[in-house]
Amino acid sequence: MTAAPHCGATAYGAPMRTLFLLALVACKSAAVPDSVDTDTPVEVPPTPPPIDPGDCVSDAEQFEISVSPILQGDCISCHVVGGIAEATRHVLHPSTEADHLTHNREVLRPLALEQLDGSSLLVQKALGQAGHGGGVRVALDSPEHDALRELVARFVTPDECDVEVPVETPDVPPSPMRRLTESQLRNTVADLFPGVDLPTFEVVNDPLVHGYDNNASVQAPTALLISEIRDMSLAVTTAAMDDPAAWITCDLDLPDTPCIHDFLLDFGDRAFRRPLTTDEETVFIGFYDAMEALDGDPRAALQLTLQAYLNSGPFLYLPEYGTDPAALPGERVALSDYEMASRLSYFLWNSMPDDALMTAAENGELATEAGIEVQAWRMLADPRAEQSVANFHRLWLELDEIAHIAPDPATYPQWEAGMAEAARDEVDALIWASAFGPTPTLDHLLLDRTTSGDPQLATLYGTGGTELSAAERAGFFTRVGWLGATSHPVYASPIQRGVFVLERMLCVPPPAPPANINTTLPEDDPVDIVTNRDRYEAHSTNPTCFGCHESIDGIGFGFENYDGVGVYRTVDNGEPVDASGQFVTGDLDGTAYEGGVALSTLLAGSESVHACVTRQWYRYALGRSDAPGDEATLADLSAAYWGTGGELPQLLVDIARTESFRTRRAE
Amino acid sequence: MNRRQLLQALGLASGSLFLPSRAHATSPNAVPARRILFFVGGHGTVYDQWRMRPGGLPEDQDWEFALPGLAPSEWSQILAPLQPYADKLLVLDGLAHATSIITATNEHDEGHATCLSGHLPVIVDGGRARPSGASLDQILGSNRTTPFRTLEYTFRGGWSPCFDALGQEVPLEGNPVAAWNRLFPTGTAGLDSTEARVQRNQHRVLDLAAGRFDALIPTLSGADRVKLEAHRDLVRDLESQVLALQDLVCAPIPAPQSQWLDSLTGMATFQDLAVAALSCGLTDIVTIRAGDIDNADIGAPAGNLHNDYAHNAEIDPAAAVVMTSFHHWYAQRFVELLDKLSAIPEGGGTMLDHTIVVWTNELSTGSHAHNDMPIVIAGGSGFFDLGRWVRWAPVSAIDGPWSSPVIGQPHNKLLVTLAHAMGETGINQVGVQNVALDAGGTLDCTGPLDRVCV
Repeated sequence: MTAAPHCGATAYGAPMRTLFLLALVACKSAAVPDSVDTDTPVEVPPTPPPIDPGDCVSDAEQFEISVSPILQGDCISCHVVGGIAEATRHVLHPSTEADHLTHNREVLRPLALEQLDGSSLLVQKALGQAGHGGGVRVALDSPEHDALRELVARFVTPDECDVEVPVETPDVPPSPMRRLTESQLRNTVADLFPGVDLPTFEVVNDPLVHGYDNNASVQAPTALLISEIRDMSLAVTTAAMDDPAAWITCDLDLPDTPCIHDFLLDFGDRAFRRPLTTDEETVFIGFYDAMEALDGDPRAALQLTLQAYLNSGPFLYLPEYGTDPAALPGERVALSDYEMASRLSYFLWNSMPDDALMTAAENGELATEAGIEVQAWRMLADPRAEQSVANFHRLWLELDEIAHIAPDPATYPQWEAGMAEAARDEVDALIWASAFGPTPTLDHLLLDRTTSGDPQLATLYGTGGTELSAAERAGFFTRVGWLGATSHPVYASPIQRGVFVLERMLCVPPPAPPANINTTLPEDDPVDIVTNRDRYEAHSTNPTCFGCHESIDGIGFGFENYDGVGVYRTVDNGEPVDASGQFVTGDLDGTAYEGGVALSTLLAGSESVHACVTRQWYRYALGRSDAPGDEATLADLSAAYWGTGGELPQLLVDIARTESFRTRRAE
Repeated sequence: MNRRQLLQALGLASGSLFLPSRAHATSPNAVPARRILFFVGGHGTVYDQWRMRPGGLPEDQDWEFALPGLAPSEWSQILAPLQPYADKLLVLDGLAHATSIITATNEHDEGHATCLSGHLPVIVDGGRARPSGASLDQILGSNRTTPFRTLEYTFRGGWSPCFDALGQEVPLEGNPVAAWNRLFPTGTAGLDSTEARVQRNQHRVLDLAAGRFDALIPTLSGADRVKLEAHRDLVRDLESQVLALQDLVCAPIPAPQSQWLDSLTGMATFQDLAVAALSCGLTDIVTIRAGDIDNADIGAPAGNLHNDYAHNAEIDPAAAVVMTSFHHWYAQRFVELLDKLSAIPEGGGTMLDHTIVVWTNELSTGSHAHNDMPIVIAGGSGFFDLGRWVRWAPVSAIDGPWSSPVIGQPHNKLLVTLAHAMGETGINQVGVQNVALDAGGTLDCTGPLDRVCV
């Protein structure tokens, strides 16, 4: 795009008259400010002249017209002395200060010129990327986004009348090599030894990033991990050797060495998810023979060789090379067929490819979008898809927290042992139906009222049967599991609830609270503070807190009809519950509502929420954080997802067809 | 009369324990300790209930006093359980995580990253902060040849304070049954079964696996390659460990009955595992991350220990009572750890004399402060001049983004001191080199602490 022509930075606010005149000469068609007598130039204008862009806009004018309103309307609530972002390098002056335009422009300059992954850090932060504590402040491809990009261009090429704002070509996102997660290891060894009753095992969970445990950038090899992988390989193969008939047809007593060799080669192909190299064939068969010769025990030799596979790099990691060895670093290269098979299987099944997928790879069918689509639909119809969908939701919606619900017995005498399990089962069923039922949509997840009919849960819901009250319940966020998991032992936490929705459903995580802040909730006061909401509202009146708590509480208070174990209440501590709230982000910005059902209905109807869900699945599918180079893909995906009414299976197939999913960045 | 007796005599004779600070550099007589055990707590402390100011010692001066001879009533509520070890302790008062103070992240999200590393915490988008380099335990472990370079345990969770050379988190073992199995694998000597043959050849499995990593590594580049090289090295370490454990006869401690243990049993079990590993030479370096306990353990009312009590300990007297009980409970556990080490004779003394036990924390208060860290060292009697409380007055205002706390000494100097105490005298910097001062200029973070060694 091309920016409006401008006259350079000296149109006003310039220290010297001569510069001002030069600027006018350079841009003859610019409107001449009324306050300046061009015939007898004797003094600098005391105040900035009225802005008339004409066909030439100066750098300063562009800042005042297009950028400053963004700063003063949004950024300033945190990026100001005394604000939550006071600690950053970017402390702005409010418009009440005379120098705010010049000061703020200079504050932004270094950030604007700093590049990360081929894109301006200022633009990325405003878009909610690159670790912006304040989340998304500017929408992609909005006029505000254009204004910031133009600002960057003007920093790069100052004092020009015509500035070409380059079309941003962010770097191809990197494709760090992934390692199988604990759940992927479990599923994969189950597929390698079908029919065997395998032991449970523990393997270190990698640090969570955006909630997901498969983020390659933080998957560090550590001593405990390597030790646990060895333990896993020993425990799994020991269990397998207890029941060899389930997975091997060779006679192990004879022993039938050629048969065992053939089995080991076939097992190697499956464990490494590609044909073994000749070198690998020699090494693993040689190892079996050596171990067999050492002790004369073919069972021990077989087990040790199987273990060796399970401790090797090609089993534990998903190394990818692509199909073009001549590609230059930074270029996109298509994945090989077998690499594509593993991407598909660990995305859609959270496990290894099956024979049909390996055959498709062998036949070159995964080199085309159409071939991928055929396989993706086939895989989604397979029961193994359930384990991936369940695992995604477990991480995204923090379902493991449900098991840790521990209400204070004095406050919640109705809470009983077994309720946490029942609550988890209920949301698991809801999630299953939202992916594989007759209406596999986000609407279903956020609005459905079908419950399990569990008698314990019925006491909390206050209703029997399998249909919850339409006035009180709608989807995941009104279920006991989530409501209990986002409560403290005594009080429900509007803060946890609001932060959760912002982070997981709107992808706008609020920044962490500043240090040394007084977080004490006020003591119950019979006059002023009666309800839970009163307590938290008092808590957020501090102006430092308000900037963030406006968005947190605007969602969290919407759940005030639900107590710490999810029981619906219209009265809290003797006073009527106030469950009104208002969104301050995304396409819901400014929308007021009342109660959890209305809130869930708004979330279900929000394009911003659909875009966020798309982003969450994308992170999970690729095992990495999203980068600026993913934004165009994400925009296409979320538009399609929104267009289908939030159909999950189609979204998953669409993700598998994207260029990001089918390629990697050459290093 | 040795220095400690002198201090005691002066203190008692003068009616005040106040002594002016003295430079106290490492002497040639200092003997490094063989082992180190980091006991890392959470939620800081309740400083007013932790500190001791016998005779009303001033806050604005450096001083020290002798711990032996203090009346029981003069011990603070939190540290009172430590009194029996008065002559084996060195309490350090006035150190700070200057590295946390100068960064702009939320301070709760950085204590774990810097407390043993001394590095600036780095924000991970969507994840938790990490340092840009190794923690001291891993630095020390990298030079060891024990079967386990280091061991890291957690009792009831908490974020790991341990990081590898790339600043990547080193996970903590939280399952005592698995931890026991790792230290005391089933012996197979003399057994003739498939199971025994598989056990006996585990090192060959690992040798083959490491060889396959060797084959894979040249095909990759950049971070992927670095990752696989690290993985390969760890497989080789495990191979050596498997062989070493076959030859090393350690008397096993009783195996834990369950991985789900009550607070007292659980804490004792991890301490037993640590002491067993240290005493048998399985490792020289252990970290125990002490997590949260049940409210009932300390008689606290219902509520979330972290959100309802720790956060409010400075402003809500009821919360301060709960957190004082919490830290007092851990002081009792710390004493039990010292009991276990003292019960094992070694070299004319006990194992405690040759082991440095460091009780530190990821924070200094429940509301996430980082100055006046609560640090207690026990043992290492050949290196440290024990039996003393050493105070560094706040003198350096750090250029913090939220405020400019005035601190005594940066904790990096403690980390350097501990490296020296473990014989690594070539280390003069752990973590950052300096931090910015509020008044301009920088505060040097290199070199050891003075006033602590014999």
